[in-house]
Amino acid sequence: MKDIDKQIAETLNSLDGINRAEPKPFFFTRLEARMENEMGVSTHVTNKLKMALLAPILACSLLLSVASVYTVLNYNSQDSSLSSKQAFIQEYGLNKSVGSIIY
Amino acid sequence: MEEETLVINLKNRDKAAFRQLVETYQVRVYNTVLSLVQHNEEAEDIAQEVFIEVYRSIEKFREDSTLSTWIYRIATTKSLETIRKKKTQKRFAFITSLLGKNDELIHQPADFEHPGVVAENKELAQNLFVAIKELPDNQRIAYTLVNVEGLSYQETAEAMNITKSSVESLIFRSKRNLKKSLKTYYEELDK
Repeated sequence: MKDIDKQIAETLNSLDGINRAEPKPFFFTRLEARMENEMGVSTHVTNKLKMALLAPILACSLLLSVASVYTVLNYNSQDSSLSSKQAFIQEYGLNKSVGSIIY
Repeated sequence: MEEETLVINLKNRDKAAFRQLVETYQVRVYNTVLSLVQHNEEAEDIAQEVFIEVYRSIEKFREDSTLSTWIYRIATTKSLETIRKKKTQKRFAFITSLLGKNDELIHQPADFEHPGVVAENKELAQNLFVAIKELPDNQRIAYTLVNVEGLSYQETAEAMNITKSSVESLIFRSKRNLKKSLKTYYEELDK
């Protein structure tokens, strides 16, 4: 029969030299997924990159829209000047080449 | 990143800062939680909840304590919540009585193995962790923070928001209760 007091002392000392337990690998990945799921929070660093790209993309889209509107307006105004030219030619019974020179 | 800068960045919801925080403290948090709740899967869950709480509450962090003290406080609080919830569930469960002939609580079977324990001490450590589980909450936390997590009495006092002399008293009483509990267990084994 082992000395009980000795057993107790050994038991109390059994944590000597203990190392910290570590979580399973990719703890942060799992945490991140949980936070996105529960809180709609993205902790991913590339979110910054997405935001950095978004501004120039938006700027380009805006420029393209403005350019399109300008082009359409410009085309329309050319259109209307062309039809004025035709009307002038018709009213004065000019042929096309003379009408173009005068107009 | 220095702590002050880290805290500022965390408050600004800087993602890289949060990642650094987790990578710096995940082992400490997990080890503390695991040693208290003595269950691997629950420890992982609770450890995650600790960092989620840090993320949510960083605005409330008052720089009168260190970040690690604050995180230990959250970790021990979350662990205790789980421990108390399980105790309440047990009380309402219809289980076989664990009471011995003299209405004394007999030693529960040892089933928790802390992965950091030295190989030749594993069996004895299992018995110790069962005895730790039976300690009153404050003694359990103090004993775990000092003897498993390796904090000083001062660090433990700060984490528990009590005085150093209170920690000394808790450690003294916890050792006394552990000896009593282990004596009962080993005497039963010898019968």
